[in-house]
Amino acid sequence: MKNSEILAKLQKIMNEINEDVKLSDNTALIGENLLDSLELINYLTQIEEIFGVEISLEELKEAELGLVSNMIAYLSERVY
Amino acid sequence: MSYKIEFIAYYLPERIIDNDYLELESGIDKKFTEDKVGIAQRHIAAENEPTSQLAFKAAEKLITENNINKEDIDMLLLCTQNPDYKLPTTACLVQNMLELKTSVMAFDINLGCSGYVYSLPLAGNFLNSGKFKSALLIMADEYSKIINYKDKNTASIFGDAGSATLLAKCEDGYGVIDYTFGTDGSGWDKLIVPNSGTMHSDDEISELYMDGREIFKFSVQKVPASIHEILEKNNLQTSDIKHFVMHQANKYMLGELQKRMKLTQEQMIIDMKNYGNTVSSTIPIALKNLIDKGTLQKGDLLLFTGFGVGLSWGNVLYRYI
Repeated sequence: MKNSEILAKLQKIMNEINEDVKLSDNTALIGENLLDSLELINYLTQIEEIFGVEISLEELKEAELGLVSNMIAYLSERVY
Repeated sequence: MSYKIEFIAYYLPERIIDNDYLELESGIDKKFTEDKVGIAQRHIAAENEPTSQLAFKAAEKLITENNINKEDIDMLLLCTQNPDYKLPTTACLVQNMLELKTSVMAFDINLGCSGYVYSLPLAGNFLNSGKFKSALLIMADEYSKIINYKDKNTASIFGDAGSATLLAKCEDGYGVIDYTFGTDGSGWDKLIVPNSGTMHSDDEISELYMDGREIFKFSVQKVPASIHEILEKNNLQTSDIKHFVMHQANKYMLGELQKRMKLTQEQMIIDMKNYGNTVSSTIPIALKNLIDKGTLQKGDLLLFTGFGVGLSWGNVLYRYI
């Protein structure tokens, strides 16, 4: 799957959760506090459902998946 | 023969913890708690107010308000995860407090948020046996006794309460018309008091732990699937159900379930603002408040869904009478 397709899917998920958040490669969801804790849990849950992956808390922290470009890189390695 | 909910009453302890207190004490954002979690305050049992007191006060209110003859109560089922003692059962204490007849069948069950939807068929099937006239179901829990109020994951959510429901026989086709249960013990450690029971050690603190992310994931995935299963089994669509009275976990989760199941706002009952998540009492409290509004008509279909610790879940399909 192309990075642009992944980004489009992430934006679609985000539109359901918080339509004010517009994603780009540089968006830092956690660092910029764009999502509250419940929205972040929902965002991750939906990513797991839609992309068929399981993201552990360790991966979330170590790979800094709060940054959209990192999440795209993470997903592109696992989704074909 | 079928069985129905005859009466419901609930009791809330006097002491209240509001969001101002939690913000001051634990740094939990007040606006977030009220707007997203959907809770403005929660009632907390006093130090010297054990679970049996919440249970007793709810049941006494039920009996007094509805002029119930105690002789007609053949079963006392008490659901709690925080009993007064490891033994005897809290049901035995409450039988004594209420001065119910000694021939009553009284026992505890240990379930959390699915407690009410398990208890209804459990007691109801004894009524269907023809041996029992009515059953008293009591949900009572004091999560305040196991919560660390510095823990942002749990402090703002839970409240204490007791609720009592009288279950009685009714004409066929009304009351409880179907039910389903579910259990996935692989999630046993997602909502737990690790240092408790026979695993208790004096060297460690005994308090509630909740993996919020896993509980959220379980709820938004399992609940819709289980609801579709019971509806399909009964040839029903979500639009046939007047109200979904689900376990009041938190407002955000119910909002997500509403969205995923494409329910209308009117269908989805959200009623936790003044009580918080009172575990097995959330459904009877919300149901009592709904009934008191006076908008339900005989024949309306309701669906009760409980889900949580265990992991455990269940549904009760109910035709209002």
